Amino acid sequence: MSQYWERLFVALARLCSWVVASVPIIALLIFIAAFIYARRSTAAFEFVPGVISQTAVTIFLAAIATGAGATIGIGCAIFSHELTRGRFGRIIRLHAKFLAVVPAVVIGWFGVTILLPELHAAQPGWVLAAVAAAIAITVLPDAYILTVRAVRAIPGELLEAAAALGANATQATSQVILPGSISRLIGIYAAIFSRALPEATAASIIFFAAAGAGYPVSHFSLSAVLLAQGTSLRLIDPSMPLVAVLLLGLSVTARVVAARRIGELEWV
Amino acid sequence: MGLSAPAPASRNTAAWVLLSRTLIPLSALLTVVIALGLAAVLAVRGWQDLWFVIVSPSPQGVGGAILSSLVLLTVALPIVAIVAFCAAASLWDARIGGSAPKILRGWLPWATGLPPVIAGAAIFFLLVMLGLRLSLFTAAVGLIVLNTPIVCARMLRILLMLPRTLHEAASASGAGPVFVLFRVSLPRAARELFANVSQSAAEMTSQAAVIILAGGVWGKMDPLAVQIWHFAPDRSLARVEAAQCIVLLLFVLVFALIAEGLGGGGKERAMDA
Repeated sequence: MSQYWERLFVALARLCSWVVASVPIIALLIFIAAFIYARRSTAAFEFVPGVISQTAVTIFLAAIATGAGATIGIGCAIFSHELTRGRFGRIIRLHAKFLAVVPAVVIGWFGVTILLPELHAAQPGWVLAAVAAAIAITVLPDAYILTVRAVRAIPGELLEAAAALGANATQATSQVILPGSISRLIGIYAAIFSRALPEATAASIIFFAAAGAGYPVSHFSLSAVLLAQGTSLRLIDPSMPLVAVLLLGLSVTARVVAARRIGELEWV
Repeated sequence: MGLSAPAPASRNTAAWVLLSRTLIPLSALLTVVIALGLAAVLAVRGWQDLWFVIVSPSPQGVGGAILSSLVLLTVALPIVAIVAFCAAASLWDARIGGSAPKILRGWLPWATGLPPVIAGAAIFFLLVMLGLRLSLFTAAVGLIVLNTPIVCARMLRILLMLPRTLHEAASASGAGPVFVLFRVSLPRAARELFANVSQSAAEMTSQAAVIILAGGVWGKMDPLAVQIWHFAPDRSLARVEAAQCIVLLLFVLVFALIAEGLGGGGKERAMDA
């Protein structure tokens, strides 16, 4: 390989490195610029009333979805990797794998068709329950993956010692794995919360179906509002950049908590 | 030194045992039920219209939508793979990256956590401010922005998993870092890297939010995930949408299976561990 090509690759690698590193900062700068641009071009600006209820809906949905999705994902990962072996474990892993490849639009369709009965399509309780269930299914595989990594991070010596003392799989799980990874498991809940907050695709499909039956837009989640405004307005409403920054801020905060708890675990 | 009696089991231990015997098996059962339920509903609702969506024109048919999805992948995937590989290489060896890795290492976890709807909104705002039209090309830009940090992080993990001794031996014999990367490390990690790219193709095919915001929804020739998103809220189209969902799922499964066959990317490998 000639010196010329080597230098060219090094220059390209450094450039790409800067580009990848700057993605979140550039996104933030674009939001600030978009807010200034929208304020100049639009006289009317009503931000607070709608967004407060939408933020509450977003946090509520993410909390419910995290409680359900992360608990099921964590439990499934521990069961299929620690409590059971052989064919049974492989079957459960296969199902978790299948859920991981199901696109969010398919889960959204499933939500409209099965989780939200047509008779109750405009009732807030039913709609929020259906959206929370759809988001829970969407984030379940992420909880599964992070848990597998958290369990793998437990020192093998501890498990060997438990086995040497005669502990069976249930005892090893209840006395070594769960107590040993409790901090990481709490971090996984925070990580899943950070992923549930901005979930837009599946949630927006169910919200749009409900809106057709009379469900109010003020009870949408922030991400669904962003998608709705982006596709219907084709211009920047001043509230849109603020909604995006709010969503990003909430997600990053949850991620910071998760990063502190989980530590060096791989993120993606 | 005297012998001490073993400490009594704490309440916590009893709670952990209860958790291990009830909630954890129940979670596994629920996962299986959800996966089987989803597959069964899709099959029952969608199989009758499967042929219809294959032969019909857009928007009921999937032909144009698949073509759009493939065009998106053809534009976005090579750029994502090349930029991500270069950035990962700069992090892998400080002699390649210089001072850039210090910044990238700190920001990569945050760049990989950028939500799709936020990435899409950023592209949307930029295009509106610049007065540019939304199109399939701008949707590809959205996919590139969203996926490059994730692919970079996975490629870095693959490169870091290679035995360091080979790297050090080649460097000690006078080989430059780029030579070591391409002639020593890359041949050993090629399958894993291609698996990673294939896994990214599966994810990009199924992503909708970023494409909707960055590329718009036109009702005709939208990528398949966007077409389903557009018509899924309409209950009267439930069967046709189910058939389209089956096609999308098969499309994504093909890439996921290629990834697994090549050695399993991040998600799949983590699940198999």
